[in-house]
Amino acid sequence: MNRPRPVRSARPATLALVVAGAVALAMTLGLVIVDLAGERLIERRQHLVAETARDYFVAFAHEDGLAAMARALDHRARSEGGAFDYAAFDNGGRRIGGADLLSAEQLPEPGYTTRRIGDVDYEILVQPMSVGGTLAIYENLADRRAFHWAMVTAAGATLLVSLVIVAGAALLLGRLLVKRAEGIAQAAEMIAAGDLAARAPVAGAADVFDDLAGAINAMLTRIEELMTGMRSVTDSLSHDLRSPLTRLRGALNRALDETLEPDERLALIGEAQAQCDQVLATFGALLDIARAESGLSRELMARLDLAELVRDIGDLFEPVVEDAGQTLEVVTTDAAAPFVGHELILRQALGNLLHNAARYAGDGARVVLALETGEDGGPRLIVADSGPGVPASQRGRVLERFVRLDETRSTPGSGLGLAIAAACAKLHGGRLTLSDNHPGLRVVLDLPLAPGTTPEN
Amino acid sequence: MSRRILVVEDDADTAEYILKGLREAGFTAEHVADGRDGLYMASSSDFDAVVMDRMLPGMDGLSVTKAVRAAGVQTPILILSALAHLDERVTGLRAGADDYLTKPFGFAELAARLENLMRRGSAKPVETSLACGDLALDLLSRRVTRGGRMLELLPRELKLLEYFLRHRDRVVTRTMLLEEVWDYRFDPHTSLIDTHISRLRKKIDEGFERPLLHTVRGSGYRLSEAP
Repeated sequence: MNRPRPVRSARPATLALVVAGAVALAMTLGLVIVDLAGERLIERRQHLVAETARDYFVAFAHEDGLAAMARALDHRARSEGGAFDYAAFDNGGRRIGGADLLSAEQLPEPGYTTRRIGDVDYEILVQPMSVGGTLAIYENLADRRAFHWAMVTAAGATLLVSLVIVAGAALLLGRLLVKRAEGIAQAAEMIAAGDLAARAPVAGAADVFDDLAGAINAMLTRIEELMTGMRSVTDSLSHDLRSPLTRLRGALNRALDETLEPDERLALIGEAQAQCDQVLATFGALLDIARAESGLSRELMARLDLAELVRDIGDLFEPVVEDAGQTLEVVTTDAAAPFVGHELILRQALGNLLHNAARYAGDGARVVLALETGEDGGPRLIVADSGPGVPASQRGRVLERFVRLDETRSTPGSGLGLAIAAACAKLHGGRLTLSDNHPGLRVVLDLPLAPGTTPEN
Repeated sequence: MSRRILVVEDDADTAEYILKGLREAGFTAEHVADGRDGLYMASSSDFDAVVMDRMLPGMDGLSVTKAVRAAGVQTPILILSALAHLDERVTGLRAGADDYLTKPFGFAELAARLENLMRRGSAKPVETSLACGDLALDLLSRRVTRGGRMLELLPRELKLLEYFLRHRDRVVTRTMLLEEVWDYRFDPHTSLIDTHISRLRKKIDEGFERPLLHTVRGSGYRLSEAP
């Protein structure tokens, strides 16, 4: 059973890979967004700092003069080791204070400019002043970039750690899923190998796997029932076909005897024909049951009069019932009983029930064929007899295909009669019930008020 | 004039079985093995009846039947089928066929049904009474007499007798009686029809010198003056 399954064992890793990939993609996107937004934010903050300083020094120059402002710049350059450097130039282009980074000629246009000085990148804010001269504010971009890089590496590290955690979790989860699914798959394999008693494991966790296993087990139980039923049907079918076929072969064998009189030979051929007909009838009945059970015959439902149908069938079967030493009483309404149904199968069902009565109710029995109204208002067809009846414990069984209470099968019949009646009930959405007629058997075929509406069970 | 019958059947053995039987019975039989050929022959030539297989290569028997009817051809069509369930007969008749027979079948059954179909085709004047020899049925009063003597028949016996009188001198099979008089499928487990026949026979033949209702071995029954 535990053959290596490369495809299946690859699944947990595949799942982990897919999950990790998705997480990595999402985080990379997030990182890019953080990076862009962060850069904008830092730039705006740094510009604010530069502009505040500019406004301060411009105001300083206005009030105290350019020279005083230049000294203040020197002072700030000494006291502050930040990212900013400042320089002031007079109208002649001479640097009068602050950092010595560029000469007046090298200064860019007023406004912000990024420029490399030596091996350091600066963003330079150049501001000409109304009192004369120019103010330059240099921002060393290395800080900004170091911050940026720190942010990116931190995010990257987070991403890596998350990836490892997610992949691990996905791997574990995948293993878990595969393990649960494998239990179900193993049960399916055992069923396929012929062990109908195998069931999917239920962990008792009340999760989706238990639901699935539960549903599968219910299905398996049903399949097992069907298979068991099928096996007994096959056995009975082989008996019911084998017997007439054997008799058919026997009759033909005897007919081959050259010393036979023509009359004897004809009689044998006639017998062969009768056996052949029995095989065909069994086949036909099986097909009818199968079609009725699968609902295929539904397209042939039509309006009919149940009262007339009951009278007709009574008419057809009265001689047979009388020949069996019984009496037949047909009880129906004079008025038409309109119904939408499958006329042929209804006739066949009632015919079979009357056949059974004639066959099993015995000499002197009273057989009743009646059309009444059921408790739920739908039409009710009844075939009742005063014969020996069927014990309550056996009543369910006789509805099955091929079941005959006479185990030796010495009486004629295919054992399909009641099964056809039951299939007829099912086709019409009705119900077939067997009960005690005190004495005898009472078979009730309840039909729904409107076709398709099922009476409550 | 020999009557012409078209046999549309793709199975060679079955076709030969039918053709041989038909020719021995004095019919002129023609055979095609394909649905399209069948449609062409049935609608272009004048046949007295068509025997049509249900499952055919090219075009199935039901479609051919529908097409033949759509072309306005009223030749009686009997469908042969290996599909044996209850609904098949109804679908066959709905497609425009006149009769339906399930395989396997006896040739006698096929012949009896074909005879029946071809007679049905010829228009009959409205009858008020039916007779066979000295047996008469008045369709208006529903009274039966034989040799001037009144016979008491149950309604179902009247129904059966009427069917026999309408098919006088022809073989009527048990299946035909069940299907056409009672709308019931033949069931070999009981002597359902034989029981009815023996009761009818008792009423119309008992006490008379010449029996009218004959048993035809292997096929069914025949109501006829001739033995």
